[in-house]
Amino acid sequence: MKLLEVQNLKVSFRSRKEELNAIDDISFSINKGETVALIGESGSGKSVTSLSVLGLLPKNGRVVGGHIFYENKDLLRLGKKELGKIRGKQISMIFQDASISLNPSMKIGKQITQGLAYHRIIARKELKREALRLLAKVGFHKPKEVFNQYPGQLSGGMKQRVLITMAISCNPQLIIADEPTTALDVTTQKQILDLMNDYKQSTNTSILLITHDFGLVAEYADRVMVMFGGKIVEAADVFTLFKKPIHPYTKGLMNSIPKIEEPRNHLQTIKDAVIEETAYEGRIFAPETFSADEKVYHSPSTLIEVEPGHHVRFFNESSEVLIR
Amino acid sequence: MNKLVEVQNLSTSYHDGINLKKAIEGVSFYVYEGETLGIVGESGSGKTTLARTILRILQPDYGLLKFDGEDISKLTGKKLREMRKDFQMIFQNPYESLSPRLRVGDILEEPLVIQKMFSPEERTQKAYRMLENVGLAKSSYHKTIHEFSGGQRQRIAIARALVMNPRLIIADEPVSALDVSVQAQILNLLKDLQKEFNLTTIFISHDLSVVHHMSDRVAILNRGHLLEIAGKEEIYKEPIHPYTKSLLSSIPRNDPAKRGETEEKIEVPPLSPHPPHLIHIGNEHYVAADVIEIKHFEVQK
Amino acid sequence: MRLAIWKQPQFLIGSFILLSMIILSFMSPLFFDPPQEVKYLYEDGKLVDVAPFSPSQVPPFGTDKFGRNLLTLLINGAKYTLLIAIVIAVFRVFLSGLFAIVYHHYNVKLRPLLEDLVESTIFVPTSILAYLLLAPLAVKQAQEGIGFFEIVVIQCIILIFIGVPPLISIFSKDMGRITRKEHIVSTLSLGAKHRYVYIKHVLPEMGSRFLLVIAQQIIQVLILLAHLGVLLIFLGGVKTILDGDLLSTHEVFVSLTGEWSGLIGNNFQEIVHSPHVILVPLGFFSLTIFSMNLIINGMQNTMKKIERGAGS
Repeated sequence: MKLLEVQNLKVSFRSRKEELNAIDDISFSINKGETVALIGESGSGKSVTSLSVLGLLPKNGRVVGGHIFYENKDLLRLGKKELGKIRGKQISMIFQDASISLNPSMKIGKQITQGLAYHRIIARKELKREALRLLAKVGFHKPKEVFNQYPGQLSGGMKQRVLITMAISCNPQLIIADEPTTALDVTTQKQILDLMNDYKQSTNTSILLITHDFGLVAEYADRVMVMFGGKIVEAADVFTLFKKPIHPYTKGLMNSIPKIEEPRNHLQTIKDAVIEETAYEGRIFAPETFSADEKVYHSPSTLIEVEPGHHVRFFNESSEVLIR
Repeated sequence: MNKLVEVQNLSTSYHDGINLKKAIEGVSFYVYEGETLGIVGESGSGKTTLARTILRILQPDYGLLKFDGEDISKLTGKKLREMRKDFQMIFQNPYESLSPRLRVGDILEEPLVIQKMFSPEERTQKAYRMLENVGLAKSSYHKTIHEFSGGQRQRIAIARALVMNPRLIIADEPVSALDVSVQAQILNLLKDLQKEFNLTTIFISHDLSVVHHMSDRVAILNRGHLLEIAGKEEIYKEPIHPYTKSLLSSIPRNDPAKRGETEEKIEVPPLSPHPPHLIHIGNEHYVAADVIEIKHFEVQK
Repeated sequence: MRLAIWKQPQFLIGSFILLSMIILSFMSPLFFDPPQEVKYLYEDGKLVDVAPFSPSQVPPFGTDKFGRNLLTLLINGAKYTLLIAIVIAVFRVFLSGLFAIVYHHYNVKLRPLLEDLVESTIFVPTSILAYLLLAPLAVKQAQEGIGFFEIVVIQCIILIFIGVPPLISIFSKDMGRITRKEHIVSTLSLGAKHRYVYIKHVLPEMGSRFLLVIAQQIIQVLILLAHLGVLLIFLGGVKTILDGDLLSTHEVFVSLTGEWSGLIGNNFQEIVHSPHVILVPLGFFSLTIFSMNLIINGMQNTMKKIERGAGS
């Protein structure tokens, strides 16, 4: 069952001179209980996608087209009040930097319970007990102590746990996690992601994981979408994608990380990958990653299903694309 | 082989405003000439303090710090300043480690000016050659660093570190601020330059895969203590210290098919108040003595 | 910074107002007759009114209580007021910069103690501190007579040093922040001397900061001068003139230079009867401070823009 469906989403940002397309025609869906990963480098538009789902785009950004259906309601056409009811309660978000997301002058307990209180899920006097229960659930050994502490007294990993506590406090249907562990150490990263994964499996929650790390995708995602320049360039389920990546950008990203199991003297860069391959079964890959020619880059392109469930972006046959 | 760097019982503390805190304590290791020693540490492990102590940007409290056989831990003034051309650092964040007010040419020539090496014309030539070495266009010489991306800035930082032909380079998280695709280019560049300039490198990172890619031997640092040090293959395949084990098991594997193959949970022992005693268990594999029973390890080879 | 600042409208307007005031002030002897004192207004041979006259009687701003035309006085006094404020501000910043280097670089052990001392002086209102230091000077001048030039220099020195301690604390904090930057650490690790690092990197980096603080200090000094004027301390000292009618003469101190704060001080008693005598000089103070604020805003905007440019 589809929980969230994004159709032809387009988001643009107004800079001083021009209107820039941050996201160009993105469509995807998330089923119940599924972890979908959006992977890309900085500037790929992966974070913008997640922000537009929650209606949290910065002031100079706006959605210029498309739909975001959540349980058959179009989030883009909902009023502020209705959106507020869904946000936080049914869709919650975990950000990268816990130290910014938490209010430094408010006790942890208060921050956790305010969402519960706002959405009036449980009785007021039950709030504290519920918060302590949640804190224990995310792995705090002494929840009472944490309840009365301020964010400054906690380590980075503990703060991220608090963020997760806040995110799960209202039993959301969908958790959007934007680089949730990038600021953390590897050991903590594993604990946090395992925690989220366990929660997801026990409650059938869906997760939209936004990351730049293929390792995390391999460990935790069910389906993957690779983003580049505001477009999805390849999408498939995680097993297919790792077994048989097709788009050179995907391959480049995968091979540019050093791997302990397959050491090599030189890492492949994305440039290498793009130069090696330009076409698949007669179709030319889009967008052309290293083309300085704006026209070529923006030539019309489509995601094409090359095998069941595996989509790759190619230029349309009609578009004039120069092959190097 | 000649040991270019030798560190014995090195300790450095810092003042946090209230107390004196030990950032690193009782750290001992050595680096052979021409090899790359990787140092793995999470945040708060003291890895940056260690790097800055070896470069004598920080003054160690005690301990021996030998560079090419000479103790530099107590050097000061002119002698130290002259020594500095032999060891250089590549910093984590190329947005901060390069002066925003200088042209690239000045950034590259500044080391030579400070050390009074070469004539002005030779310095300019040298700067151009370094630009070429790190894969930047000659026209970069006249630009300011605002015009460069993160990866290009890190190339400039590398060129600046290498322009005096140092013997030792300490790279402190040189790629962690960069996108993965750029990271690969910088790592490739570093490897090439290591060979070309015959460099000895201390490569510091929190990323175990990157350290594995770059290093010959690897040391594990945790909260100011060195816990284990061994050849790369040995430490990744047969880690002994529970902390090393837990680090290695936390690396996400790049293969969804291997999901769920998690090893048994590893308990990391609490930090001991005293620096651990490293013992040699053979094959240049040293490990903190308080966690092993010596009889389990036969000396190999 | 140098180029970008000239594209800031705020900066341009602010500096235009200031500059035109100073230039007008220097050229005023060419246009205006020396200020006349018209104390009594006669109509048909009968005394109708005495100074100060309101703006409607003597346009545009009226006169002070000695019958001097306020506009002429203000234009004439502008050069002293503004230039002295600028000189004091520049010296404050220059000296604090120098001391800050020494302070930041050498006194590691003494620093907490000095910090406390400086912090405690910040809470003493500067005008009171200045009054305490300047009042004895005024007395001495009245009794023994000190040369005009001499007294201006001494007064300036006192006003300069009053402002230095808090600035040292600000600057040394800035230097601390800058010297912790990686590119400074990097330069030190190349084997540079500390002197080289300060001259080549730290001070240039603080350049725009220095300019900004100078502008802020000019405002501080102007406010301080206005306060001192009320307390009858005038820059350049006073001359005593006799005032009142023939039957009850009394001595009045008048500012020698005619700078603005003197006007406020001299006429403070008139504030109820003819408020314009106080309001007009205050207006000129406000205009100056306003244009200084424009300049500061312009500078800050440029700095922000440059920082943003550097960050992207």
